[in-house]
Amino acid sequence: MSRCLYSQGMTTSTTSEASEPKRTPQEMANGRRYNVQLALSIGAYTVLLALAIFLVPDDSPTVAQRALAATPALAGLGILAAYLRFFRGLDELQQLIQLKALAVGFGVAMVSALALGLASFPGDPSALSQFAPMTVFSLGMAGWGVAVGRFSNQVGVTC
Amino acid sequence: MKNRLSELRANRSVSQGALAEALDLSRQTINAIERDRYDPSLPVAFALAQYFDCAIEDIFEPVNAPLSAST
Repeated sequence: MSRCLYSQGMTTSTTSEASEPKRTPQEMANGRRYNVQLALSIGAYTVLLALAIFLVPDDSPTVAQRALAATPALAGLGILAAYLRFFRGLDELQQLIQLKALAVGFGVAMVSALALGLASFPGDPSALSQFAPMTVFSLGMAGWGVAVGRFSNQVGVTC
Repeated sequence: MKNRLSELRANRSVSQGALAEALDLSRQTINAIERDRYDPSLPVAFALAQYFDCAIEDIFEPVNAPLSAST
């Protein structure tokens, strides 16, 4: 039998896991850093969005004003950077869960975009067309979130 | 894949958290491996073997018969 099992004599005692913290210090530090970076990016998004709403007119905006209206998306780069750093701080199982969930979220977003595209037509002034991008975004994010929960439950991991 | 990780850990009186920290993994991943819910990568398997000073096959055991060499 294996030398590692019996080299120090078999014991039947097990270390209690109930009293252990759920996360290691590295995990907690990774989570804290992610939360801070995410909060900063969302804060930047809020400020840029407020500026865009305040400075860009609803009717006949110039090209420069349209560009200004899109600047809140730049904060998305901060969110992306925060997420990628968080992802690199996860261990292999947590990364696998995230990747599978991202694939599900991407698929949901693609199918949603396809369905909304098929259901609308050029010049369509309906709310369906107007809110299509945010609908795709929301459904994709929801798909990702639900998938993280489901895949995590399958292996008993939270991320 | 079956494994004897919980036995090894108990033998050394090492907690899941301590093992996770030593191998730079999450405690929940150690728990998932012990409950046969996750088969770790080769680098993690080697790290576990090194930690417990034994061979990988002393920790992990395939559920199905090993693949036979092609004739």
